[in-house]
Amino acid sequence: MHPRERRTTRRHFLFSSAGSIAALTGADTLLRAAGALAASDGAPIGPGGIPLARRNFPVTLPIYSDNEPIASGKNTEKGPLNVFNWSDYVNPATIKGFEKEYGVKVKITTFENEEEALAKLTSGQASFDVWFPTVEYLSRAVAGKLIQPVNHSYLPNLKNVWPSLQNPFYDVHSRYTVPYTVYTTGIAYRKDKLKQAPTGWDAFWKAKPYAGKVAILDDQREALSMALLHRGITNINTEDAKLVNAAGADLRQLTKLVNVKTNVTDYTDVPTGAIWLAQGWSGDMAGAINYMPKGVPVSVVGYWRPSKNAVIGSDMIAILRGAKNPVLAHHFLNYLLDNKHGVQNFSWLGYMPPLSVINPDKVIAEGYIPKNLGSTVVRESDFKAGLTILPLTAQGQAEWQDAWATFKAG
Amino acid sequence: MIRRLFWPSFALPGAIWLVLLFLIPTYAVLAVAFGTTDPIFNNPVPVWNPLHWQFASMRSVLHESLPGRTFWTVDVRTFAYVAISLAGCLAVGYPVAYYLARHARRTKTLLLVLLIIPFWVSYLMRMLAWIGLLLPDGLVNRTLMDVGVLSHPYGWLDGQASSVILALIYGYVPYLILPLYATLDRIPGSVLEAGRDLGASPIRTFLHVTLPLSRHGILAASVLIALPMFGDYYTNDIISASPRTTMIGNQINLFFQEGSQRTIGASLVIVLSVVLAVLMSYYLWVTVRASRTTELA
Repeated sequence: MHPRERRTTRRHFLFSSAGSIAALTGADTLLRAAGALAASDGAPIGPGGIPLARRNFPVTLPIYSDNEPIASGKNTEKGPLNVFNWSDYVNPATIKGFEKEYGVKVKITTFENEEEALAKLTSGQASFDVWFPTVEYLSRAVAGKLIQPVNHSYLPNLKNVWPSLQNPFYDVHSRYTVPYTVYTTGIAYRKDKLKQAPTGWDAFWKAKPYAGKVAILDDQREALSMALLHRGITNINTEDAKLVNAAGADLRQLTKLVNVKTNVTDYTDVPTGAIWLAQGWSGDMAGAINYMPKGVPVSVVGYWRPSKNAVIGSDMIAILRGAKNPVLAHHFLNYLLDNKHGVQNFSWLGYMPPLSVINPDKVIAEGYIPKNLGSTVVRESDFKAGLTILPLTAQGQAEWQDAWATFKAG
Repeated sequence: MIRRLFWPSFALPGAIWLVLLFLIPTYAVLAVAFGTTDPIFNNPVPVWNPLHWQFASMRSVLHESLPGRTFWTVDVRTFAYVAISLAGCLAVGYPVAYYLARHARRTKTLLLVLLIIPFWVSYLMRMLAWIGLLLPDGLVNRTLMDVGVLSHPYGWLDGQASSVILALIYGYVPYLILPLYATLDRIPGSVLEAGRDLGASPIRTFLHVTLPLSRHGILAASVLIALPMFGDYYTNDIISASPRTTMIGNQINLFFQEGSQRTIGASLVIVLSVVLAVLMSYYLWVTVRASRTTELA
């Protein structure tokens, strides 16, 4: 799931309709058989026969003969550029800057959760140029030929990105994507309401005095991963049903102990004091200052994350296969990777772009992030030492979903 | 022959409407529940030919709905919430409808307009408004503390079943009052006067004349709000978000909106629909019986 996946948001509530399927290559049964097999080198095989990337099994995504990158040196189209993004996920000033520089118009269509985005994209109803996916959906988008490979001759600014993300394990040689933001999953809390600040995930299981004021993310991967890490299991992409069910049992214990809530509104709940201890994302707390009630200083909120084995998420930008303005789309990606524009975007967004120019210590010193929330900043060393939530096989997805449903049934 | 069919043929548009907009989507839900899932995008793939239907998901759902298993807990809880909320809605809504129908004279139009205004605001917005009211430092807590009922803020939003039930009552009561008002309005005043003339006190008139005559309206209004209440998931998500108060709508949402088991979500929808159809059939039976007795009378 994604930090911007606000299911119950101040905006309208959208359903993801069951869209029609994108062109499937090959027989259904063959794909399903491939999905169940594990490759001989250890990485599980996902849909379309693409191995699912793991940190120790980097994946070079295939380039299909009917989905090749565009040629170099082509002229830029006239636009307008159709961008499909999370709501409020790009600085409007950055967009305006791009419009001025290229003399085009940019139309942004937003989505509230990734399933809805995928349904819209696969139904073929609308045609977009640029999309902001997450790693979880990357192999599916490639297998379903939803996105096109990028041509690096149009992306000179890719060198501004952290070296480890210029050639990430989930997309070796950055064939299909460029990175956009990085964030960690940790604990957002109210310093003034808790007797002591959390020092580990066991803070949830010890939170009985704060029953009713504790929340975890309404995301099966994030919440169950937290329970796995609490048990000391670092493979958060495990498909071992015993481990996943044990994690689910731990979460059910939380229901008994603290009547835990599941939502993604930690970004307002913790500043307003509705929740005192919440599993949350780093970018949420970085922007906490915007949600503090009158007269409450931002120093009362805090953010903890583990120094080792932290869950790190990273967003990407991709170009859709049916893009009407592929060259312009490449320029847009390049524009966002520019150092100046990246920092401009960051100052508004709160979520960090993985640009080498951003010095985390300077970010805190210059007041972009309040001092007490310095832990929300993500460094390249964090990413290298962190854990990533990655796609599972269909069977793995079913196991996790069943454990989650059992926990949610109460 | 043509003369015999002339008047019934006016029902044809309605019948076509029913077929197209009800039966076909119902069949589509069946086709999805007994269909397969696209392995790449997890989109449900409906199977239209009943000979190729696959019942593994339905079997799994029925198995988990047995007493003691996952869905059973949620089903019982949903049933309890709906029953209590329905009772609450009737307790709140009946007096309002009764006053509007029988006693309001000069203010009737104004009150009717006030009753309709909630329909202008979407259900979602009305629920969202309550979060602001129920926060620890929200209006409800502050008022109760000022009045002296509470000594410190109460956690209305801390995953309480009572808050969810109150929110359901609040959310659905407007939909109950209007049909109930329509029924009560139609009770001829002469019948009630006859009861008074025969020596019954106001309370006895109400209990023995008005209430039985409005029984049909109560049933219709109850059906009108109970059916959507069974599938409600947003109220719980907003007001509580705790697994302790999950309703069956939340589980349907969980399985159908993401992941590789969309057919389980669709199967849950069918199970819920069958249960509601059984309840509806009771309503239909009562209605048919009532219309038959009035025919005989």
